[in-house]
Amino acid sequence: MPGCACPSDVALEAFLLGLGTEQEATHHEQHLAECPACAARLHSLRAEDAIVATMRVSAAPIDSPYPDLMRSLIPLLKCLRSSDTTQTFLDPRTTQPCPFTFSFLAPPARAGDMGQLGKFRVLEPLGAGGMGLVFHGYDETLNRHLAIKVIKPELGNAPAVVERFLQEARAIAAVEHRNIVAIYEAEAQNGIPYLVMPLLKGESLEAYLHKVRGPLPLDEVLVVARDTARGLAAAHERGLVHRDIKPGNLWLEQADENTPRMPNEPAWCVKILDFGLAQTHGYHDEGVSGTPAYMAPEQVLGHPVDGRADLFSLGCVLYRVATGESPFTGTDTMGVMIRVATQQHCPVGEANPALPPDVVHLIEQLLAKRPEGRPPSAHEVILAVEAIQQRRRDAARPWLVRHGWIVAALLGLAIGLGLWAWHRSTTPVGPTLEPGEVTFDYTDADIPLQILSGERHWDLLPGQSQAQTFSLPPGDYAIRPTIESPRQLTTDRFTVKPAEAQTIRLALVGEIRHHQLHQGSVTAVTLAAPDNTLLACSVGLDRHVCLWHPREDQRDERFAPRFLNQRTEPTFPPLRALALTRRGDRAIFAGGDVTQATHTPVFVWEVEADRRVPRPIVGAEGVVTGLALAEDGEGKSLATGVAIAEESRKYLVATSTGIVSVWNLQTNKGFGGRYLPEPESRNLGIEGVAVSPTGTHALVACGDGSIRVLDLQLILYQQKIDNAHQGRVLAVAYLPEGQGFVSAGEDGVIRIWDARTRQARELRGHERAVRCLAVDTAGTRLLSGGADGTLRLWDLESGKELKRFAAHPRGVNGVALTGDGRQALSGGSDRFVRFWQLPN
Amino acid sequence: MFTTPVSLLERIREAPVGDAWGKFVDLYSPLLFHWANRLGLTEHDVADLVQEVFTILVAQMPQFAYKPEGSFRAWLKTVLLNAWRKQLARRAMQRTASDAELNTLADTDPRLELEEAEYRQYLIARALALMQQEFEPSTWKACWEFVVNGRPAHEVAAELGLSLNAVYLAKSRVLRRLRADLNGLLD
Repeated sequence: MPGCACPSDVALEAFLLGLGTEQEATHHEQHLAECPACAARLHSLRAEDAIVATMRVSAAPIDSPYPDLMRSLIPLLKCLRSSDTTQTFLDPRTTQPCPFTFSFLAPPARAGDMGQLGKFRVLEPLGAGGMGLVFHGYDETLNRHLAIKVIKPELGNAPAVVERFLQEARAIAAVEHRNIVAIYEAEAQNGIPYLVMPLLKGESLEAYLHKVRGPLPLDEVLVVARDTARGLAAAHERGLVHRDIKPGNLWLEQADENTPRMPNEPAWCVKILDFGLAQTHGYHDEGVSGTPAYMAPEQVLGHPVDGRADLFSLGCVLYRVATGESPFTGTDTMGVMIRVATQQHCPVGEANPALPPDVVHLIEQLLAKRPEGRPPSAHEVILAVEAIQQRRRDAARPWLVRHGWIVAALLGLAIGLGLWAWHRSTTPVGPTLEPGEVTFDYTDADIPLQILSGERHWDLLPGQSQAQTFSLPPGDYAIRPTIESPRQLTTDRFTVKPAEAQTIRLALVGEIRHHQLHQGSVTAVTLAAPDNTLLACSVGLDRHVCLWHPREDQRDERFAPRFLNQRTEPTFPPLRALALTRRGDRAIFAGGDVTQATHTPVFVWEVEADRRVPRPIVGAEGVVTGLALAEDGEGKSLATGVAIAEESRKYLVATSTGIVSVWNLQTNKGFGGRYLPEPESRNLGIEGVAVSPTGTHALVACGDGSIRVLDLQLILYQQKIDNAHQGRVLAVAYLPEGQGFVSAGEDGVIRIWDARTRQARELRGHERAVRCLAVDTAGTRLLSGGADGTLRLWDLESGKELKRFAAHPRGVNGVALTGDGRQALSGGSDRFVRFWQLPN
Repeated sequence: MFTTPVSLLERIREAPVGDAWGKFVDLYSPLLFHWANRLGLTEHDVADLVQEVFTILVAQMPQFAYKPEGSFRAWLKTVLLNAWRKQLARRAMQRTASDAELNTLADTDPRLELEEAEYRQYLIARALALMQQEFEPSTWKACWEFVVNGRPAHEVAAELGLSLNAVYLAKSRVLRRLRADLNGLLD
């Protein structure tokens, strides 16, 4: 009869099946040894479950097809670290898989060793990463343990490449700095380069972050910042750029007991690993090297980089250590790269609101998309971090020491003044004045602003649909963005008078964001505003069509850029013309290849269904009555303009061979087409088309310098303005409600035409040809883009140039305006698409 | 409700390096080689694919262990398929994969079908093989004869010169270890 200390049958059965905690098991084992009654009960218990049942089945063994391969691979797989998965990204086209043989090792000099590399014994593998393998080595002559990094062979390791790699490594070896991991030797054996380094104690920042899970203490963040910046400064001075700064390449080495360190500082210092390897290793002429999540935008885009790219990467690292998250994340390399290049990260102060403003400011500065926005050198970063550390040490000192002078001053004051006097000492003390009401209209905002007066400040938040009103003490104020931005505030200071109300309209004018997802000149851009979002579309000579949401949170997957490109659509020619329906549900685009004699294909993309409808071919049978493009001599026809007339459910395509064809927007069938009447004009082609607000007529910009009006019902030319421009007319646009239209030409002049008199006013300013035009819905503002690379905003009534941006150095090819004329899109030969905030 | 000791999966969640990870690699390598081989890859591609899969696993296991969504077997298969797709796409870029090859890439692949029962048998057999040397030979043998071969406990005890109690304890200990290794991986 089991006593009350005896376990139940259920508990014993669970014990037999290996269930329960360790203590329970030990307890039961003990008990069974002492209690024969319970031991005797065991044989009556079934103790069967699915696992036991499965054990009884003699399973057919899984065949292991390559036993030798598996045996050699398993030790390496065991060395995988999670940091390796943010693998060094190399363009797959230039990457060869790593061989899993150790053929580069010479036979071992001692039994038990793996082999020999030069004079070093290779004992065992320590790890494997994107870059190669790391072995535990031993130097017999100096009796010391070492780490030997063998670089993964890429591109067959051409001798010239190996040589370049070794030169780079030796350059790093020459930099002796406590924040850079030393390189003792850089050699090659059997064409495989290897580096000999100290065997480090400690762990990588990546491994440390993995353990901590979450933000590091601020003192540690600052040490990571300072030490890394020190290492970078030493290398940058010698012109060496790391190119792959990431937590996996920052080693936290336990500092010597004897090393002096400040209170609160961690017991480790940071050493930078793998300096310069990404550069030579990545063959940056062909591929992109570095780890996308920590790469600078210019690096992602394959532009030349300098030390400031490392500063951006440092910003990403600091963002991660200070918030626990990376600023740019994604599931695939391409997605991360697009985010790094085009999207704003979540402000670090939002990701971790506990961060002090000076730290937030530093990290945001480092993360500026453009190198000019970042601190100019690693030295500046060191100074900034040291200043923050100093302030923290000061703040940690006892209050009396810190504010001794205040105490002294207070002693001299009459006690009756009360303590509040020094409380207010930061603001000017004077007679109390009635505050003024200031209302800020900052509705286009996306960057928080700060209103400053002395040491006081007020926050002006973005994303508010309504004006924000403040009651401010009289005085002079400054306004500044809280994060580094290349944009300028329309107003950056103001004065408050007692008891007076005022309204200030604010805008941060300049580029909001851009993308460089095109690999060739961007030829046309357009905007549509369906359902309160803004949709930007662009086409280019790279045969890409790109849809983008420039106003949305760029980290939101739903608003990720969408593409049609040559990979999915191999029939696309270089694209040159584009139109988008107002609802943004359909994009129509066309182009042509000057080198090939073809018909002009037109493509229609139904955006929501993500379907490309069968394309019509301009000039194909039954479309253009009585004419076929194949007959027009060379047959090289390019589409130069596309326009949509939604009111009359039509779209138009203009070509370089002088024809405008008109199509049914719904059925995609042709209504007909019309050549320019004069053969010589026909040969000069058409540069662009625009549809009237009523959808009944179209303006045709002709290569012969004329502008013509086409009746869309009859498909007949009705009017013609000869010599509208000297040279070719490049762009035309209608003004609203019969107010006339605007045109631009090769002569660099913009003309505003009166609807009735056909007289024109001139806007001059562009230094070269004006290629594109856009007008806002009210017809008050005009945006123009020119071959001189500038984007200019004009007031149509006064003809005044309101604003000018140096937008695309190699020429602006396309512009679009939002309906209210406050924001704009541009694309140019520099391959960029830029989204702009314009003055109010 | 009975709990089990800290499982391999939980240990990987804590630190996807070292011991636990090594054990995981040992446990799953033959299966992944087997799967990769069934896809009809060359030796080189098999090595490449298996490496790729483990590289993804080392990064994503902690998340999976932390918040498993669905069975591990299904998840593993998805990881393998995605890695394979990536490999094919990469080769398509190098123009070595034929269109036909890419077109046959469905969401699942019959060549990767492994019955749940078959998967469990493999995993348990592999785990047992790997843990054998950690036990006293007599303990191991006792458990083997008693549980796997289903012989009566007293017969096994007599044959091995053990107490009856020791045979039951052998079963309990081996099953305990097995559960610790495979908890969360068997589904």
